[in-house]
This record gives sequence, C-alpha cells and structure tokens, in this order.
Amino acid sequence: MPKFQKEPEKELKSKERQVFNEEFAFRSLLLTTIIGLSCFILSIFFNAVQIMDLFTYQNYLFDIIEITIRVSLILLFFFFMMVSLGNYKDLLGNPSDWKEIVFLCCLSLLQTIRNIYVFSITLFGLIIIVSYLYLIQES
Amino acid sequence: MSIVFITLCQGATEEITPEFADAPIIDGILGSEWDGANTTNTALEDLLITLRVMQDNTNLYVSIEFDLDPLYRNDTEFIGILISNSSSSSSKDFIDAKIVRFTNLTNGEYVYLDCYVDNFNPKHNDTNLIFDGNGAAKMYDSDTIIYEFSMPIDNSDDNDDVFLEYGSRYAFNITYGDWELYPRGVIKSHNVLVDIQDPLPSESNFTEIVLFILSIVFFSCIGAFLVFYSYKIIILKKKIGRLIG
Repeated sequence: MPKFQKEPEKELKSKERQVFNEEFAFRSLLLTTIIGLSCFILSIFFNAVQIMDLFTYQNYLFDIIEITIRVSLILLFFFFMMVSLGNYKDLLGNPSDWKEIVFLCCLSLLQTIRNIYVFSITLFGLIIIVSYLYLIQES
Repeated sequence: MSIVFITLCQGATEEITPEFADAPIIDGILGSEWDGANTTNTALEDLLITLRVMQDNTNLYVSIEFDLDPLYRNDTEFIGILISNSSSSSSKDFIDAKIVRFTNLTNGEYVYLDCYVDNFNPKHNDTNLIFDGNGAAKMYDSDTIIYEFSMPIDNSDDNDDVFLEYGSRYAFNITYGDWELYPRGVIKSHNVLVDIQDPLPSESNFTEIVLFILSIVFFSCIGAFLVFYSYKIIILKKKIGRLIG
C-alpha cells in the first residue's frame, strides 16, 4: 500500500491542461504557418514576378510604396515562420536553436535577390527582429 | 532668334537602316568610332555627300561628309537636318530641325541649333529653349568638311521636337546652305528615310534575366521546403492525435 493515496482529480486536471496546451500550440502552429505561407505566396508576386512593375505609371512615391510592401511581406514571412518553427519544435519537445534562425534568415534574404534596396532594408529588419527575439527571451 | 528655313518638298529616295554601334564623340572628327555606321553615298542635288547613320539604344547619330571647292563655300555655311514626324516627306510634316552652322568657317567656329519648324512658316529656336541632341563640324582641309549630329531616340521631354520612336520610319531632309534662311540661304537639299531600330537588349537586361531565373530557382526551393514543412506538420498532427487520444 502506498503511503500517500493518489489524487485522481488532480492527475486528470494536469492531463487536461497538457492536452489543452498541446492543442493550443498546434493551433498556433497551424495559424502561423498559414499566415507565413500566405506572405510567401504574396512575396512570389511582389518579389519574384515583380507584379507592380507592370504598372506603367511609376514615380518616386510609387517606388517607396513598392519597396515597403516587398520588405514587409518578407519580414512578416520570417516572423510568422519563426513562431511556427518555434511551436513545431516545442511540440516535438525541443527548443529552437540558432541554426533554424539562420536558415529562416537565409530563406528570407533569398527572396530579396532582385532588388538591392529590398535586400538592404530586409537585412536591417531581420537584425532588428532577431535582436528583439534574443533580448526578450528568458535568461 | 528668328530663323526662316523652309525645305523644298521632295520625294524621299534612300531608305537607311542605322547600324548599332557604340556612341561616337560628336566632335566632327571622323574616327574609327564611325566604322560601324551604315554608309551611303548620295547627293544633295549635285553635291555628292557621304552619309553615315548609326544608333545605339538612346541616340541616333548622323555624319555628313562632302568635298566642296572653297570658292563655293560661305563663311557661315550650314548643314541642317529637318525631321518629319512620320515617313511623309510633305513639307508640313517637317517640324523639327537640327542645324550646325559655322559662325566663322575660317576659324572653324560653329554653333549647334535645335529649331522648331512651324508648318512651313518661319522657324525659330525651340520655344522652350531646350536643345536636344548635339552637333559639331570640322574642316579637314580646304575641300573636305564633316558635320556630325546626335539626336535622342525615344526620349524627349521637348514638345518642339519630333519624338523618334523605336521601330518607326521618319523622313529626314538634309539641307546645305550658306545661312539658315529661306529661300536665300538654302542651296541644296535631299530627303532620306531612316528606320529607327528597336533597342538591343542591354547588359542590364541580361542581369535582370539572370536575376529573374535565380529568383524562380530560389522561390521554388523555398516553396519545396514549405511543402515539406507542411507535410511534417500533418504527420505531427497525427502523432499528437494518437498521444492525446
């Protein structure tokens, strides 16, 4: 006979909480992946096909708007895929490491190949995001 | 400065297709830079001239060389190129003129003028005083003289100029005279047709194509990774389902 009797209700609650956490993590994984994929699909149109170049009316302001959209899509792709990959690794029971961050940075920068301004601003944005993620994490 | 300058209406004869070549320096010196030009021997009435025409992606270049006894020359002689807004050689269609006139032939001093031709009426300098193109002249010896011109293709903000479009044909009237005044100054003229060629793919276009192909490759790789990642998520979902279930 065990000295202390197990508490079935507490054990059940703990299991329920674990299931809830895993479900929440998986939903977050799905949502961030879908948003990341959407950003990537839009990035194909704006950064690979350069759909905005089809408009003949172009000026300085138009160029700024175009570059802003391109950079935003890539940075959003990076951010959501970063969260997605973090959730994925969390569900597998492993923490994300720097290799995955570098890999995602490379995937993001590869999308900027057609424009030096987009490349420069995206690189700057990635440094900011990675620095932010590094600084907010618990020591 | 008001200039009266009217060409005689003539039927265009030669059709000239400019050769693509590197841009020459417009200085009146006929160097090897003009070797690639389309060279035509023609005549302004009885004055035999050698006409060289070439282009790059931004400009059309014309060189006119002829020999003339100094006895028949004037100290303020000029060569004018009147440009029609189409292939029509009708006098009313010539609306633009590029002129190189000597101010002092003996000293080799000249001026380049970009003139507006108003329906065969008195012509004057472009109303907005924008001189598109360039012109130069140089006397080699007492007989030979060379005039050179450049004029922009597919690039002119000047409403007073003919906008030379790629792939289009224009009538050019070449006029020789002793002063750019009609009828007193015009001595001889002749019409030719010039076919402006479509631009060649430039090096920047080549770079663009390479970058486009590379971007397709990179985006395909990223897409393949994302498909694989999505597949892994589906697998994970099944695993979690089993664990939770």
